[in-house]
Amino acid sequence: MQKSVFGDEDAGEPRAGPYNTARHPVVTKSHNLHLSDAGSDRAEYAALVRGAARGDREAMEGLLIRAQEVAYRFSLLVCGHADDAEEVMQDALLKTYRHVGRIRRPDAFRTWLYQTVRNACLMKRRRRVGEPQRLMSLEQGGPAGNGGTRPIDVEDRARPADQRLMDAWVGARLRRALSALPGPYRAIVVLREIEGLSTREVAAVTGISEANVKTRLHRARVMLRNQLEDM
Amino acid sequence: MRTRKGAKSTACKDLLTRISAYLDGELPAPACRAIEAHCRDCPGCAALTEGLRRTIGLCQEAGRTPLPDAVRERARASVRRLLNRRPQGGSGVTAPSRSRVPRAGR
Repeated sequence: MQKSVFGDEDAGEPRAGPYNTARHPVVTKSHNLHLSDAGSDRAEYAALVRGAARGDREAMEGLLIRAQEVAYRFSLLVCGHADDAEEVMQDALLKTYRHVGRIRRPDAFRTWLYQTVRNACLMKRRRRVGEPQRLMSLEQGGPAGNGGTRPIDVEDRARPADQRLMDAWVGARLRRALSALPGPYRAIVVLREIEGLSTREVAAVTGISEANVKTRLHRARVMLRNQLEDM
Repeated sequence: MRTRKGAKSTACKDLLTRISAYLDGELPAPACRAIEAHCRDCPGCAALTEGLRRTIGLCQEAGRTPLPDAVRERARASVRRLLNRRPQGGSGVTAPSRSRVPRAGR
């Protein structure tokens, strides 16, 4: 697991701002972001983080918009609820705003953001199904009837309205294929293939080894391919 | 995991274990050539490889698809409201005192 990007996780009040209006060189790109090149995406995040930390309002705005878009995509695709996605967006907005001034490793910001969003999704899921509120990893799992453990699935069945929303966005075929995957596999596919994170970043976000990420990604790809071909 | 027709021989099983690394460009050239040679002789593995390639492409395409306009506009509006809040007697920007930024109407 990577170290936190922050020197101090819970220092309370934000240190953000004041913001000047100088144009930041990296925010000329569309904020509607999923970039095809993971390396340039990571570099752009780092540049935005550095700009925001030194008071560049436009950089901060770009960073916060990206944070919300990441939150929405991940939440809707992995958890399947538009209402939760809106709340996870708000969490991502405020947490990013409050923490940006304390970031010590801008290049690791993207990993922190996805960890934050994923944890927020897990909390929403637990509230929805009445599971314990304490954090528990997907690997750790929850208690099963046979005395063992079972994997926690962050997915809950998407409602028709949410399905229509996703269908209009990523297409009904992919949405249905993704929803048929077990939750942990779906999260890996979304992070790696749709969000474009590296294997190392996915491992850091999900808390499993890179070898396990590769194994799960391969299985998820095969399952997804079989689902798509059966439609 | 379901396997497809043809994934029975040792060569087919070997391909199945290495196909993701192949598609991710992580294999050395000789290993890539061996997989490609096998696919020329094995329709099942060729179909699997092409199917996985299409699956990955579909996912990547989804990742490049813009979010719905309404979602993007709500995100921008939330950010503007947050950054336009000014502390009493100050000129900078601080986080809102409430735990949530008010949302625009959906």
